[in-house]
Amino acid sequence: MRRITVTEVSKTFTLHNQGGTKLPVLDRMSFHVDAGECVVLYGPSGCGKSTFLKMLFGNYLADQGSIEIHSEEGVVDLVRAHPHEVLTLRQQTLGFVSQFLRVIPRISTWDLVCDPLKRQGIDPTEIDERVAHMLKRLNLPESLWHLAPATFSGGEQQRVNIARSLILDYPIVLLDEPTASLDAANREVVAGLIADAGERGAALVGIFHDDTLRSHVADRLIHLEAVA
Amino acid sequence: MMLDTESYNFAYLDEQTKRMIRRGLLKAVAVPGLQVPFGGREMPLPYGWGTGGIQVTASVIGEEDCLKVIDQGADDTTNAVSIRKFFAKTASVKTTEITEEATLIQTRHRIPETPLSSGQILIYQVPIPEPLRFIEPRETETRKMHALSEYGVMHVKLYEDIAQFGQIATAYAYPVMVNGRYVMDPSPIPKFDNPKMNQNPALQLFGAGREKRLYAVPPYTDVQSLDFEDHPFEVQSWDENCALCGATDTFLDEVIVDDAGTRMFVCSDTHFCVQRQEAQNA
Amino acid sequence: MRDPILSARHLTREYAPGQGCLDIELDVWPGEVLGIVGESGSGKSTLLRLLSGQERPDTGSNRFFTSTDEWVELTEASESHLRYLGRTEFGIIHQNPRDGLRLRISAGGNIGERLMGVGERNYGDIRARAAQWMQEVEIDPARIDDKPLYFSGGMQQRLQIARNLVTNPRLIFMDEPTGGLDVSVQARLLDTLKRLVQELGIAVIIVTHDMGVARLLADRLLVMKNGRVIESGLTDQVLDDPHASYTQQLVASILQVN
Repeated sequence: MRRITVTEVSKTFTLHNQGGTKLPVLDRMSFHVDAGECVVLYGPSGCGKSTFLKMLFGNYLADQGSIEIHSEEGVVDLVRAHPHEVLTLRQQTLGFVSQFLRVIPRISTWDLVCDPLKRQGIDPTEIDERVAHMLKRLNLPESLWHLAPATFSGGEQQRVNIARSLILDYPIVLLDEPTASLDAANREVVAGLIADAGERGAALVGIFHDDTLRSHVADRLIHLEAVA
Repeated sequence: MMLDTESYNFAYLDEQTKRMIRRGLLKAVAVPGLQVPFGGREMPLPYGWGTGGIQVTASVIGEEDCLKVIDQGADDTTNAVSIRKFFAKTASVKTTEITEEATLIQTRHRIPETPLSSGQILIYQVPIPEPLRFIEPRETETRKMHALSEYGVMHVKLYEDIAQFGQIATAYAYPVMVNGRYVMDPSPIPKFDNPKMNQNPALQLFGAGREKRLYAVPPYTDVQSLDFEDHPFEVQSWDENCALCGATDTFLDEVIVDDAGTRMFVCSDTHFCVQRQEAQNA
Repeated sequence: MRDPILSARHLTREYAPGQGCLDIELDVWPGEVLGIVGESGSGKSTLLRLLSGQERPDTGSNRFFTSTDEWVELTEASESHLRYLGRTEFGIIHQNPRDGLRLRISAGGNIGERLMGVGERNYGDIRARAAQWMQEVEIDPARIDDKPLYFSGGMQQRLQIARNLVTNPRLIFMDEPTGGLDVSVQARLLDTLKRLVQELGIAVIIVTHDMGVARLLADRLLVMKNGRVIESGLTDQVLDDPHASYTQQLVASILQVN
């Protein structure tokens, strides 16, 4: 089942404050991802992997082409979608594990991870179970659960981030170097989570610097070259 | 007493001024509770002594009228006596202390205990005509609030009373809703007198001299005191009876009668009290 | 997609050539937070006053969908209707709490005023709801009889929020709600706002020049310059991938903070 169809997408950053410098990042890129598939983007740094992943989330806008997301409610083209459609997709369809936790200060780990479930109106007891299970699986000690992650180590923050992003079974999961600051044991856990997501039929698109993990999870590699 | 026509026009004010005030009063009667501005004149007494009331009286008084003036219920205080003498001199009208006899009653701070009847006019002296003033100092805003019947703030005042004192502590100038439309300051009468305003057969006119406003309650008009469901409007009551006439249902003043601090409670309406005493002695 | 709750078209109010708001078009949906950002003088506060009916535009339309399922053209609504909406369906949070509070009336009276303004006449109920809303905005209900004159700036702002929310409005207008506050106080107030907006599902239009506030609270952003909307979109998209030169400048000025 098709989940993402990207057609002829281009992106150029125009830096108005640096004399209108134009930085072309993507040039007529096309690809697609099916359910249950894990596609890994790779290429030299600056080749636009991260930019592209952000475009798949609606965080960056494409200049041209189309990015079609196939959700339960139909197909939405992120390039032309109304912001509300993008928000709905993010709530129900698109999960994003970013490289860093954009820490919302003063909100506890527990509440951060609960949040996506609450928005779906899931039963509170089920929320409690799922959150506890996820935090345990990611080896986050219970002593941290009710603290705000602002003061956590990089690895702990990253695991909170993963927990929050994968707590819902999104049909599409975007992963931007999810294991960058994790130790080997926790990398294993994340690899397991990714494998689980694939098994339940999620379409995955990711960037992984870690070669072992990349070859471990990737069904398909897409090589990006820097646009001249 | 001779009418001093050489120095003064009838009832002191010139005819044009009286006409202007009467027009204002007509409007005030037509829209019960609405404050109508008028061009107040300088009167030969200071502001706060009844300059508004006296101008209203001057405008409606005729040669056949019989005038009673009370101040805090008493006919014999300086203010009451001077205003009575003023009209006796400038309009040579009959004056009285008997409520039933009077066709016009100018009052400061009380409504007589004796029920008024159709044909009588009660004229109140008003210091601050705007009931919303305490909470909203801007005149432009209070006018708008009246125009749009935005009276939530009136209850805020009562709310504050209950929050602070456990009950509605406002005892004077207790706000009323007139004819279901305008919130009105009844002048600083005790709230004891508020129920008397409702459906009163007499015409009630209000004059504020300093702020130059007129307002009115026509005969047989609904006048409701504002309150809460769970803190309904209540009038004052006393454990004592009037020490002079024994009345149990009148507004009582506490009077200190000697240097030792001996106190007694007596009717604030002196004429009513005297009447009862005379009836008892007869 | 549901219908918007507020829908403005060609909204224009020009004080002087090029000053004010020019040809504004926007929609606000139920439950969303719309941020309006831009520098001082860009017309964002004027826009807020136009949208909330506090000011009439020269031209254009601004329609509000009421809780009784009717469209009201706010630009033509009578003042009494606008003020009624202001007590029931709208809330307005002023930057300076002194503009939105009665400082010499107790906290409970301040919150209760809106209830009394729509006809509530039960003291006990009014007081109970005031106390409940104080709790919601994290003010100790024990202070219900204290006058906001003696409250800190942050508490005054919280009280202003409670006063607005007590009648369950469906659309709240906020003008720099954290403007005059210390950074730490600001942060905690923002947390409260975010929580309330999420819990209550009210629509909010918030004017701010603080991109941090915009990022934390707003779902969508409008960027204003010289009275016009020059860029709009999802908040993170506008802030992370700004297109207009001015927006890039605006974002560049805050990047070091993130």
